[in-house]
This record gives sequence, structure tokens and C-alpha cells, in this order.
Amino acid sequence: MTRALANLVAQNAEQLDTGLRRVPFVGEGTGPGAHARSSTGGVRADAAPRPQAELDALMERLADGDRSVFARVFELLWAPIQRFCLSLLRNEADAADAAQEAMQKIFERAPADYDRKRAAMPWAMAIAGWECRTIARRRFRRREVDDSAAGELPGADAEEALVQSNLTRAAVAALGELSDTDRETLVATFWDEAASASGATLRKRRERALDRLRGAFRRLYGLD
Amino acid sequence: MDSIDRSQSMRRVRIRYELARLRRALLAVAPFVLVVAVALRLTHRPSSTLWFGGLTVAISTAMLWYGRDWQRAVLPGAVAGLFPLALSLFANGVHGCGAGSCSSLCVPACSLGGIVAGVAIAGVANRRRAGVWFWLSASGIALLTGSMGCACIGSTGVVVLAVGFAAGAMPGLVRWAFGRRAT
Repeated sequence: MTRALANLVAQNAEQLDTGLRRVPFVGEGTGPGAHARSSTGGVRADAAPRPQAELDALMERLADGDRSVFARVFELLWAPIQRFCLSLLRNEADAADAAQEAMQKIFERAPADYDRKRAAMPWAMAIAGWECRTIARRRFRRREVDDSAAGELPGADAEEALVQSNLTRAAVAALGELSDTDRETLVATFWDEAASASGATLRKRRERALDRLRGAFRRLYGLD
Repeated sequence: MDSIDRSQSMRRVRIRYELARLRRALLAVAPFVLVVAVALRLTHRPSSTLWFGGLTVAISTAMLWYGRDWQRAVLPGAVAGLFPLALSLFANGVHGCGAGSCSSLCVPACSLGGIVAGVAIAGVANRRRAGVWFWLSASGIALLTGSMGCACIGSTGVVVLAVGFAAGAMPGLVRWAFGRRAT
């Protein structure tokens, strides 16, 4: 099941990105193993904690030009972005560079690109993810990465293969945190396999499963 | 991670934020520079047009950079100001307005344009339930824009424009004021 799921994730990384708000690169050695939870267990849906709601409101004001919230927005983003970059890159110096650059880009883009209808943290994390990806590519080109990690997917360019491989591992780890029902729902949704439910029930399950998957990603990659 | 100078990082982030806002403001005000160029081409008194146009561009850029109500007021103000500007340039083209002479078309054009601009600003402000700063900044931009054309007959044109604007905006302003008092 896990191998089949890994292949499906690798082939369909874009669809997974859509559901996961584009976390394009993650490091190795992801969190707790990919053991299945019981179907009655599963991961509790991650309700938006208070700091997230505060961040959304403050980011909107910052995008609008309210400088009085600048320091508070910086404070709310600084630690999570640093932890996120460190969890992806596993190297303090690179993570520091990525975090600094990400913070600059987040604030630079806030007035023009921040969509007020969407949550601020995933948007900020996506920017941080791209910065981490840039630094990882740069590191790869300097050949600091073990070449044996590349080329796991046949026919792929070595660097792209590494990225895909890491993404697949991360996605599988996060999927492993979910219940059997959630996994079945996501596979049915994204890969058109027959599900045990359909219509409105499937749509509801899919929303919950995606919420739990996002929560699992956040927990695994240091966003909490 | 502890080695990162947080205050230094915050300073760098703040600089990037302000520069991004400034770049965006300059980009947004660029079309208005074209309006000034067209007005300069059509007016018979380019020095006044250039003066008012330059002032409008500079103030609009500052307002767009600053943000909030000031930023939101720039576009409605500029669009509203196009009415008196267009009418005065048309009157200028037809009748050759000048200070102290031949103002039979120019004065009505500026006052009518001012009324239309005032009504437009009042309508937008009431629909958005905007605050005082929106009123002030949108009105300022509208008057400066209209003055690029109405200054062709000197200060009389600007005064007529302002009076027309006030007349057009007054009903909306009263409605807005009573609406705020009621809430």
C-alpha cells in the first residue's frame, strides 16, 4: 500500500501541491514513521489556533499600509519560518539564509500579493518553501548532496528526481499520519479510484482529510 | 539560528517593505503621468498645468505609498478630476481661454466639471462608508487634477472649480455626516 501510494504521489505531485498549498520541497528524515493509524483514530482536524487568526488580521492591515502592526507580524512569523526552514534544509547556515530571504520576500510581497481571503501562514510558508528549494538546488549544484538520493524515479533529471523523491517521502510520511478512511478518501479524490462513499459524503470527507493532512504537514515540519 | 541578528533582520525587512510599496506607488501613478502629458499638449497655459500636474503626481505617489484611506482615495479622486479637466481643455480648445478674457465657456466648464466631480466623490465615499481622510484626500486629488485645466483662466478657474466641487459634494457630505451621527 505504501509503495503504491508513494508512486501515486510522485506521479501526481502537482495535485497534492494544490491540496497542500504548495510545499514544493522538504528534507529527508521526516518525522514519526509512516505507520497507519486505526480507522477510528486518525488525526484530529487542526482548527485554526488563535495566533493564526491574529496573523491573518494583522497581515491584512500590514498589506493595507498599517505600519503599527509591522513588529507584531514579524514576531508571529519569525520563529515558525525559521523552524520550517531548518526542518526542510537540516543545515543551520542554509536555513538562516533561507529564513531571512523568505521574511524579506513575505513583507515585500504583502502589499501586492497577499490574498486577504486566504490564511496568511500557508501563504508565508509557501514563500519560505520556495526559498528553501532555491537554496537546496544551489546546494545540490555544489554537490553537497549525496548523489545516491537522486535518480530514484526513472527517466527524471537528477536534481528534479531528488526534489520529487523528497516530496514523495514527505507526502508519504504525512499520509501515514492519517486514518485508513482519510487515506482512502484522498486517493479516491485525487486519483479517481473507487471510494466507499460518493457525492456530498465524499466531498465532506475530502475536506476533513485535507485539513488533517495539512495539520500533519505542519506538525511534521515544525510549523506548530 | 541564535546568531541571527533579529533587529538587523527586522530593519532589512522593513526597508524591503517600504521600497516595495514605493515601487508599487510609482507604477500605479505612471498612467497619470500620461494624463499630464496629454493636458500639457492641449492646454494654452502649460506652466500652470505642469505645476498642478507635478503636484498631483507627487502627492498621489505619497498617498499610494502610505496606504490605507489615502491610497484608496487616489483612483476615485483622479477619475473624478478628469471631468473638470476634460471640460476645461475642451472649452480651452474651442474658445481659447486666458486670464481676464474669453472665459464665457471656461467658467461654466470648470463649474460644471467641479459639480460632477463633487457628486462622484460623494457617491463613492458614501457607498464605501469612507472616513474623513478619504473625503479629504479624494477631494484634494480631484481638485488638483481639475486645476490642471481650469488654471488656464488663472486663479478664477481654480476657485470656480472648487465652488462647483463643494456644491456637488455637499448633499452627499451631509448624508454622510448624518449617517455617522446616527451610528
